Amino acid sequence: MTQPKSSSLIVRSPIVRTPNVRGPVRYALAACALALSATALAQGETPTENTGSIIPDLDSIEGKDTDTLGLIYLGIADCERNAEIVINLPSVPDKQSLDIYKGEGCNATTRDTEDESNCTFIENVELNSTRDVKIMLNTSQLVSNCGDGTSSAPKLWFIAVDSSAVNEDVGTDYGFIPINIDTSAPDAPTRVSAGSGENTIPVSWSIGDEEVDHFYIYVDSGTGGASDASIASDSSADDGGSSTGGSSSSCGSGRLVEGAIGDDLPSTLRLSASLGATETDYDLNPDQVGGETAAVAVVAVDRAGNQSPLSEVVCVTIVPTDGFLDLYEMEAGHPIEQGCPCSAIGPAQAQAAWPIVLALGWVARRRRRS
Amino acid sequence: MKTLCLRAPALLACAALACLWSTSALAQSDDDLVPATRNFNSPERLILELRVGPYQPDMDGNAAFDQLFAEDDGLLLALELDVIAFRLDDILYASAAAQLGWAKYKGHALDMVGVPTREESSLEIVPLSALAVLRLDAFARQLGIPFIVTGKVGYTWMSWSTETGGADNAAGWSLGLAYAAQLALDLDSLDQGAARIMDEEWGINHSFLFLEVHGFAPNDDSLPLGAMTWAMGLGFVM
Repeated sequence: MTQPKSSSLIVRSPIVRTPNVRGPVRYALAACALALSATALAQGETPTENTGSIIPDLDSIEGKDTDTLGLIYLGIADCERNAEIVINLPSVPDKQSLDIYKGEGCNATTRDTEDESNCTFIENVELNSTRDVKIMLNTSQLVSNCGDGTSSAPKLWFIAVDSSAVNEDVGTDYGFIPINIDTSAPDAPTRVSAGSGENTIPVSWSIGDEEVDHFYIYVDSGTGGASDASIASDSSADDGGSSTGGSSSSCGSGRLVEGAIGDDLPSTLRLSASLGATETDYDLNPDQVGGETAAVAVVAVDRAGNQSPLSEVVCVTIVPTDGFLDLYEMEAGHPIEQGCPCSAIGPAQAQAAWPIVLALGWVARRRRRS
Repeated sequence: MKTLCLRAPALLACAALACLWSTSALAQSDDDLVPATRNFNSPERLILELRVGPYQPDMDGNAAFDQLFAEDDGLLLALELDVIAFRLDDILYASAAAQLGWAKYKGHALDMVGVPTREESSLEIVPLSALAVLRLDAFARQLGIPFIVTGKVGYTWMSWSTETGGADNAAGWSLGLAYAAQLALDLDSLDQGAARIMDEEWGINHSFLFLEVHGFAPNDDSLPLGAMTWAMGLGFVM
């Protein structure tokens, strides 16, 4: 398969393979790779610093922004839609072409295409004397199985070469960048509990040891008539009126199903507020509940955008409550006088104020004297 | 010859006295040996008290407070600043004082059958008091008994506000008589050297630990947030 020529270096061509390396050279390369790996292991870590002259910069992954640390993660959804990955390579050396590899054990001075356990060839790109290069790859070139449930950060290597010779000494004409891949979805939040209230209806949950970036809360008031199931009441428990658990048909909702994932969840039921990783409770207001009772469930989302299955569905109920003011007025039989009862300052209070007035006057007089 | 014989013992005695004298002088030059009374006292102008104690309003028998906030100790934190109007040295102070405090109580609103829900209900109080204070320190300064007795009387304006479920329900003021009796331990008696240094370097003439019984009697039209309770804290005369 020939590689089409292009005047620009925005590459979208099919993969072109260099000649396979066989026999003793392959074993020598494998030995080199093993030696490198062994050295890294002996040092306690894989090479993390890019010491080459090519400094790749991850520009974007289709539809995603960097997080607060400037990182982007490829997730399950990106993998399934074969998202495009754009990488900028400023100041590429003036050479014929660029080899692109993926792996932890790639050796920058040689080109290993056979030992795919730690270095996989992706494609070769002609440079055409252009120094600033933009590379576009598809997720399928980096991830073979979107559902393997793993997290990794394989390095993408860019090696500038002038020939197809496997033993060409490229010097420092290389560079690499790690690509964060996470195809492991978090577990669903547990111990979801919801209560009742008049102005705020609290919901809380637990995430255990999961690494979560944020949460979505789904609320279904059942006004869409999705279910004929009777509305479950909010049972009062010893811990203060909270209720836990609930089936998908409780609270009048047939649209929130425990364990549902992704596209199975109606986005219209998701609250616009998305909560940060440290928030494991939320106070719903009556507008968000949208009725007397509603079904509520929570989804955890990790930094790669992978969503957990929907948590157990619980019921929230809006009920009239009595706070301090209500209880006091009920027992007293009259409303509390608000504001300042300043008119109530009568003779007794005035008499009590005299010592203070005298003391203040004495202080002022003595201060003036001193 | 006789004179010589008489001189020797005298010389020895003088030498011994000289040795004792220098030893005594060396001992007295040690900063840790501080005379009981100081030669220097910075002016006394203010008294500062930092105080904390429980505050449970009696509510005139209304059970609302106990129903909601029974599990909340309601610690009242307060600061009092006395301006010394009159000082009878080593006997008493007469001061005018201002006191500012804060306490907040939290509980859970009840549903129609009286069961606590998870919706929060709270009551917050901010008492502001103006007091006339008489402080007797004669026991500590003149008799060596390290106690100071204080009486206070004045007026309190207590701001209160309550909310349930994040919605502001009500706010107002309770006004009424304030009074207190205090017993304090004079800390100068524990370490006079440190007390002197504090005065010279910080201008703190005296410091004391106190225990106080105080009360607030709101008038009839106010929310009955009165109570008689106790507080403890640390005070400084500056």
